[in-house]
Amino acid sequence: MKKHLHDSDLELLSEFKMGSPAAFKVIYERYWQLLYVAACKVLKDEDEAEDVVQEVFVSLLNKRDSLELSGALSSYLFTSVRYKVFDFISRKKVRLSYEESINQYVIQGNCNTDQALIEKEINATMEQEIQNLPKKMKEVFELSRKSELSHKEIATALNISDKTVKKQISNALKLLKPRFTNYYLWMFSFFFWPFR
Amino acid sequence: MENPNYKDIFRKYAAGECTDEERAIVEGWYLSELKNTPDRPSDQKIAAANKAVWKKLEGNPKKIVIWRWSAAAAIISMVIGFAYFYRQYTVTEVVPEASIASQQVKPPAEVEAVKEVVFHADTENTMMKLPDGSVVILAKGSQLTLLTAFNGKHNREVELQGKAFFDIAHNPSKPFIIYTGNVRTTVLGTAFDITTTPGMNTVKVNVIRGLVEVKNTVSSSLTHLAKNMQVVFGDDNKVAVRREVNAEQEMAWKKQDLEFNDVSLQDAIERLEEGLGYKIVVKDPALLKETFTYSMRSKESAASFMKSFSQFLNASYLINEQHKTISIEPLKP
Repeated sequence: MKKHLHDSDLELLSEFKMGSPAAFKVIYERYWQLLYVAACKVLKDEDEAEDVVQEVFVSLLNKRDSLELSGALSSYLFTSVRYKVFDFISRKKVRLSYEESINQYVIQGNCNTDQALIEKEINATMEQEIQNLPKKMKEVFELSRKSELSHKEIATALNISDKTVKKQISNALKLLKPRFTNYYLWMFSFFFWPFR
Repeated sequence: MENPNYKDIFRKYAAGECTDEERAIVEGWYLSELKNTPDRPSDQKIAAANKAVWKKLEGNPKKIVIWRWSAAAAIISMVIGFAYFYRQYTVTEVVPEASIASQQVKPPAEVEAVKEVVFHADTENTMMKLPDGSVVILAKGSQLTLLTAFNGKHNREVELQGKAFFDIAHNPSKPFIIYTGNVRTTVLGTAFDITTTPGMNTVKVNVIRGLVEVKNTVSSSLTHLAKNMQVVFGDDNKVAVRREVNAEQEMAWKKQDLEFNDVSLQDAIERLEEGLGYKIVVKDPALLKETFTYSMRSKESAASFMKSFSQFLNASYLINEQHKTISIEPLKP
């Protein structure tokens, strides 16, 4: 697990999509607190928040094959939580307190109508929770942010993860049947990926 | 003063039925809750909930599928299609790559002047072997260019126009990279084919085994592909379509007429077996190493093909219909 700890979000995402359970765990550990605390603050219920964040990660797992993110992993996760929170609220039998809360919000005025801006601010506010992370996790976060700032470093990072994967594939390919077997037999031959 | 509209607003939001104004209200409220709620779960609670949820995730059957997929055998047949601009190698960004020895990789535009070794397949599908041992079947009318120092220190790079099937010799220290317009395909140990169609904005890649990492160098969009899946990049260099296809059907073109271009019998055996429908047995090592240039027609019968091919090879052959095998031996002097 330590091997992915310092990977950037991009690398993690890439590894995750290729089926790495270790990468998934790192994503989970990296974002758990940010997502959970946010859900707690909006839902005002810790148990419900737990369920919501669990759902977010289950969805992530289920979408692994089809996931195509045009933006950052963090934005995707923050947005997922938001949608799940609203979905959750909408299903609750007793929504009164939330409705009153929204009424209050509207009555007070100050409503921003720029959706894009609001979303940006939501993400920024969620990121602030990074300050409350345990020290080591905070460092990892900040490092991975830095590594996403530079395009150059992204390419380098990708190559690093490339090699990690290649190494594992090379182990797997060693077990492949020799090439001059019948083509169709070969197509159905199996190889093992020692990911764990 | 209570506005009755807000009773339904959460349901509408979740169902995607909000007006823009309503969305802004709901999301603005979400933001204000985040900002203005002083309470937060304790550190202990955060840690405990973390553990509890992880336990549930581990027990999730879908997750077990992931473990199984990554731990199990996987023969991959993938199809990738993506947009490219034929004959416009507009690589606007230099994406430096660090290989093991931290060398820079030049995009095709820069190495224009020092390209070497160009393969053309003029009249029919042509099978050839690259210096690193990789096998390529170049489709009729296609062109493959090996870039500078192919099989040199750090990379194996080629440029493709048209369509080709690749069976890449495994070498983790030298990534095999294929450039087709704005798309760079990095091979992670695999066999696959790529199709680019002049005039159309699609490039298709079909993978037999292993993994392919595909990057659009303009949008930096990155994709890895799994079994029987196709991705199409649109003109905007972003992913337009992603769907399942039958990769085997997509590969059928390889079974058409095939010309072997200076390949050894050993390398050609798979294709011969595929084309003729028989298992081919050659025991003589010298015969296996012999290289030849010869054509195999798609609908030709094994008998007819072997009759002329054996004469060409100066070999004798025996077709066993029962076991569906063909054995080839050097002619006794």
